[in-house]
Amino acid sequence: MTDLDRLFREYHQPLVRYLTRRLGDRDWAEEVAQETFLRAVRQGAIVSERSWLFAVATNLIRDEARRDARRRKHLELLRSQAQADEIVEPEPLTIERAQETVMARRAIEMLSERDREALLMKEEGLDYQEIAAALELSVASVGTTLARARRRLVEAYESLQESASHKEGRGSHAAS
Amino acid sequence: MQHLDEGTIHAWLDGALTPLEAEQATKHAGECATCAAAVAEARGIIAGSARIVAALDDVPGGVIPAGGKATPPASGSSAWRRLRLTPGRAALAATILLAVGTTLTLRSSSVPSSTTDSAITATAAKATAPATVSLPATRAIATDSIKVVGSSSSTASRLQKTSVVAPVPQTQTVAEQRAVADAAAPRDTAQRDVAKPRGAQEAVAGASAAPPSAVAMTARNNIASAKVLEQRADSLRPANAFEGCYRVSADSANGSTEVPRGLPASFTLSRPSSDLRAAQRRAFAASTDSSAMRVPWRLLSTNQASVTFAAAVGGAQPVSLVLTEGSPVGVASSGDRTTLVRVVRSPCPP
Repeated sequence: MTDLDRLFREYHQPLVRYLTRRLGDRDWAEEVAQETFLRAVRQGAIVSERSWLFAVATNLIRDEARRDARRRKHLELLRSQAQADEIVEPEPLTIERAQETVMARRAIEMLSERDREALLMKEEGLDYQEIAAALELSVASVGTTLARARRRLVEAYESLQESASHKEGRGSHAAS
Repeated sequence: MQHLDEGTIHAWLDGALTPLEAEQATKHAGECATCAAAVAEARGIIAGSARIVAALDDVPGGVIPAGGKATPPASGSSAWRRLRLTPGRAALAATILLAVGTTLTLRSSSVPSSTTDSAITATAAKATAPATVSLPATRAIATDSIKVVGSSSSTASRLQKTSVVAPVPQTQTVAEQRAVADAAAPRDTAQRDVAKPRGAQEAVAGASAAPPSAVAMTARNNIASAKVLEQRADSLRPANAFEGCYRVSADSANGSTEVPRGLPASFTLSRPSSDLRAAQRRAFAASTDSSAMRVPWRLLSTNQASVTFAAAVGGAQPVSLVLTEGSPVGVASSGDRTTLVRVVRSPCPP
């Protein structure tokens, strides 16, 4: 088994999961992951594999976000056209789970970019040294970053839940 | 010892402190009620945030959230999607628009019937168009917008190639046709300025004439359509680099000995436009009789393309293959499995 095979076997799944959580789109996450592994092929020897892969994937997302808006819209159009032909359909979510997912997505998007990435990397099992290397932070600041990210995420989620329940309350009151 | 700060508590709970630091934190938390409460709260926050993050995993492919910094483009905000426009529909709409515009132009014009459609359209177009938009571009976009996708020639020459509305002689070259149209347009414009105050003259007046005539509106719409579609054509130009025939083999250089199941030995990439979708099913069905199969694909970036091969048998998963321009190595993915394969160009079958 080559180093590259091992890299794929070890990190493909966590990397795609991280990217899916980060982007909210599994197909796009898969594409970014593939580009990341392609770069790993070209890179050759990598010292800290996991942090390198996560850092490159994160930078790819950032680069993508900076690109020309017209171009992104166009790629999105192509992607949506291709998706219309996809054979494997995702399992339908229950309404409750779909609501949770939407709220979780909105809550995570309310975090700052660095907090969000640090948190998602930690949830993928990266240790403080790896997160620090991937995000170019000092190791000592990772704990503070994670503490802030987690607290804000929970607060944002709770706030969204509250406003959703208020809306539901108003809706049922109006209906009665 | 002073109270534990939140970052230290999280680092401690995450097992990121050194043994000495962890021991000190444990000791302090055991003695300090305030810090013990903070630790308990941090545990709750860590568990809660993990649960929220896990909820993100339910997102199916194709769902992109709107807004947010450094987030993917919001699919919901796409004008194409909002209008439910596909390139095919856009082309059809542009063609209808041009036909209606031409009809209205003909009806409102007092120019003798011997005047060509070309000249009339040219008048309307030139009346409102900036100098950069010429008649052939306006016409060609409306009649052949789909053909623009994936064509190997430049946008300008592509736009000049088609001329459905204008009855110019077939023996004329594109340059000659254009010269004829350009030469005729100013003369006809002058004639119509005298003969018909409404129409071209109104169009010249542009925004100052209220309300604008149907001719002027049509011309403006055509110009706007031309610009939009020309931008699309520009952005699709990199697609040309990937068109052609390919052979797939195991990437022995990277230690692979087999090609993933579902990848064909050879395939052909044609233009990545929506009109291919209609032919996909037939193409797949015919693949067993052909040495090279035609497959749907799309551009990921200027130098990368993604090709999806449908599952050959029931229960199998489709295989996606990412190609990089200039690289003989492709990345094939099926389910959780990703494999490097060798993908090289090969001569296309006649």
